[in-house]
Amino acid sequence: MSRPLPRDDDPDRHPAWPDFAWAVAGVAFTTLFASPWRPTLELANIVMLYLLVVVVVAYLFGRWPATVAAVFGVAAFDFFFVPPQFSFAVTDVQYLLTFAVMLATGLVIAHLTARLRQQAWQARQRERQSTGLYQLARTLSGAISDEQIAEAATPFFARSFGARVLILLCDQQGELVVPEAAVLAGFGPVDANMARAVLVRDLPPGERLPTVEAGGVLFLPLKAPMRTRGVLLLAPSDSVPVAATAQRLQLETCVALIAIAVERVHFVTVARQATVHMEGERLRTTLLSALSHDLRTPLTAILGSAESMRLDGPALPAGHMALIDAVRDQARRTGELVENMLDMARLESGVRLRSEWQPLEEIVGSALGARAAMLAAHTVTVALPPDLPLIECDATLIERLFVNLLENAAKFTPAGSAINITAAVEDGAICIRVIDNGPGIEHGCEALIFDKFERGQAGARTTGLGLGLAICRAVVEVHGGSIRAENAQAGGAVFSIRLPLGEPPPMAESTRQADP
Amino acid sequence: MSNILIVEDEAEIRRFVRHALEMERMQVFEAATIERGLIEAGMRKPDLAIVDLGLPDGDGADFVRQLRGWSAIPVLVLSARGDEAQKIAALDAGADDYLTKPFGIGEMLARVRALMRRSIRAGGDAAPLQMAGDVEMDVAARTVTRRGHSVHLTPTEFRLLACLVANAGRVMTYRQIVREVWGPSFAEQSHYARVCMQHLRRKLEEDPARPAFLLTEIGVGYRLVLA
Repeated sequence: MSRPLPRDDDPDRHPAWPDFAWAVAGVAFTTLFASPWRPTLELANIVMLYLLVVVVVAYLFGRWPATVAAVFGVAAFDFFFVPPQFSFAVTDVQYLLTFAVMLATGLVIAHLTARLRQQAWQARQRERQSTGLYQLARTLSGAISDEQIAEAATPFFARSFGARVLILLCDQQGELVVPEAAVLAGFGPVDANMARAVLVRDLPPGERLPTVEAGGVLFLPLKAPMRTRGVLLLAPSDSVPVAATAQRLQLETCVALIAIAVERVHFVTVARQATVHMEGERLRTTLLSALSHDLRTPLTAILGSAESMRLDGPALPAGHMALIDAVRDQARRTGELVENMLDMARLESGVRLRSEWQPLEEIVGSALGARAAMLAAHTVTVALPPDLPLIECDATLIERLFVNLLENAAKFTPAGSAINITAAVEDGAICIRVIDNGPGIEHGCEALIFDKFERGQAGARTTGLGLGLAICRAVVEVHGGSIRAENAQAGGAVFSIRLPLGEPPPMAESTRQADP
Repeated sequence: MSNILIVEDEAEIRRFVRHALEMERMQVFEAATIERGLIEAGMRKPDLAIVDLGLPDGDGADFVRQLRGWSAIPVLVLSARGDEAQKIAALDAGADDYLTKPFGIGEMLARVRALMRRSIRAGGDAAPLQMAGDVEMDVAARTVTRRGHSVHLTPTEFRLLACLVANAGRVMTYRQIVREVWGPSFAEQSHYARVCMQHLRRKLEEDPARPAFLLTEIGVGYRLVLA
């Protein structure tokens, strides 16, 4: 026999013609082998030889060739061995019983052997599947990037399913990334719309994977515990139908394994980014607080020492008093510059907002209080509607915004000028205006003045680094708002701030005005 | 003569604070660490403590917390702008007021005097309390008048005013106010205090945008000053 071992494919498959030929050949060989022994051998022993052929054929070729061998065996036995020889006729009627038993035994043997063979095949198949899955799981567990997952999956699918695969994953925003040149070998360009449709189809957990088949390609969602991470495209080969139940189960397991690996890689990336971010933030915060401490401490000492010298006042010569005052004033001014620079650095390095719901009136009031001395020569009016909604903001930062705007107005308008603060709700935002009746802003500089180190037309005359308005813009922008400056028709500058109008939190019943 | 304890690690700052206080005829004791500060506080029995928030062996809030275990003396903390969280932690721990560096001597002395007055008055009499703008509050009779006219306050507004009056001169954090007026379960709802304060100012202040006695400590809380 040229094929001593059974082929390792499904014994239930449709048998091929050569298998039947081998069955007939087996019967013929047995007949030839037994013929010379006919005078010496009992007929019952010859029957045994034919049954042996059936067993061998059933083991090697399966049920149907074995059935053919059984039938041909009975026929050959009748024709060549049962008297009268070379005729199908029988002299002794009891041989009919022999034929019947021989056929029945042959068929039963054919059936049992074939089933045994089928079971052995299934066991081997299962073992191969679990080995494959085990290897895939092991490879995937070591994968630390999406590319490595694809590298592990591609050969596995080729080996286990004889299929080509393409894995499409979602980006940070949850959008499926389909590269322009995405091609599933042999199937042309990828149907991106179909892939997206599969991705968004939401399934309750535990439900079987839906398969969408288009143009011979299976679209399988990579459903991980948290969410669907992408789509796996599978182009099955013709010889291995993926639709078979056993294959389906394995396919689903593989897809789940890949989905979990993708999710793990995603979270590893997220965790790594978070660590890097935290490290960066920690470093910046440490640096900033060290810097601010080292700048403030000497300033506090200079200012405090100058002022306490002043306490001794009368004992000092008059000229010294003026010098002490100069030291004090310069220390104060330097302190303000340092504060502005630190504010700017903090805002630029990504400040963490301590946002709470605030009434605007209180913040404006606090800023007015902080700059009362500076504004003593100006007339400031605050006209806020009493029903203005609360604003969700970091009060200390918004206070800086108003302090800087008021300082700016005090610096660039002559004494006696009026400063007006108004607010209103305008198309979904709170619009706050700080209006003065001073000389206004130089034409063409309306946007420029918010840049750092920009000091406007009066730059030569006034002091300061020009950080005030840059801080204003940074504060408004971290709150998701916008600020712009323009000249009023009647003259003077108008600073308009738009802050997003949120959904204010509910108030306890007892704080409402209406309670008795 | 009053005794003042200053806990601050910068010698230059200690030097001028000491000088200014001594000019006011106060006796000053110095400490550079929390540990030393607590020992000095126990030994010298000061009438007031000035504490820096950034000390080499810990946070000023820790000092306040430990001190409050056995002493009720007023505590003034020194902090830097932008350290609101640290400031609030110190106030919540029981500090009475804060000064932002760099600070002027005049301002510091004013705060120290106000806190000393407060601790003397704490014995308390039942006379009606005077506030700016001719506002009077009689806590016992539960009445508030402005220029002689009675002002109607809701029960919550009255509780808020009473809470601030009871702690007049001190900075009360939003957390402390909400706990006292609304109850501990509202501690995170600090906007209650701000909205209620807005109503109170409209009823009692001449110009609610420029409060004369219901003062805002931005990002921290409120302070009521008595006339």
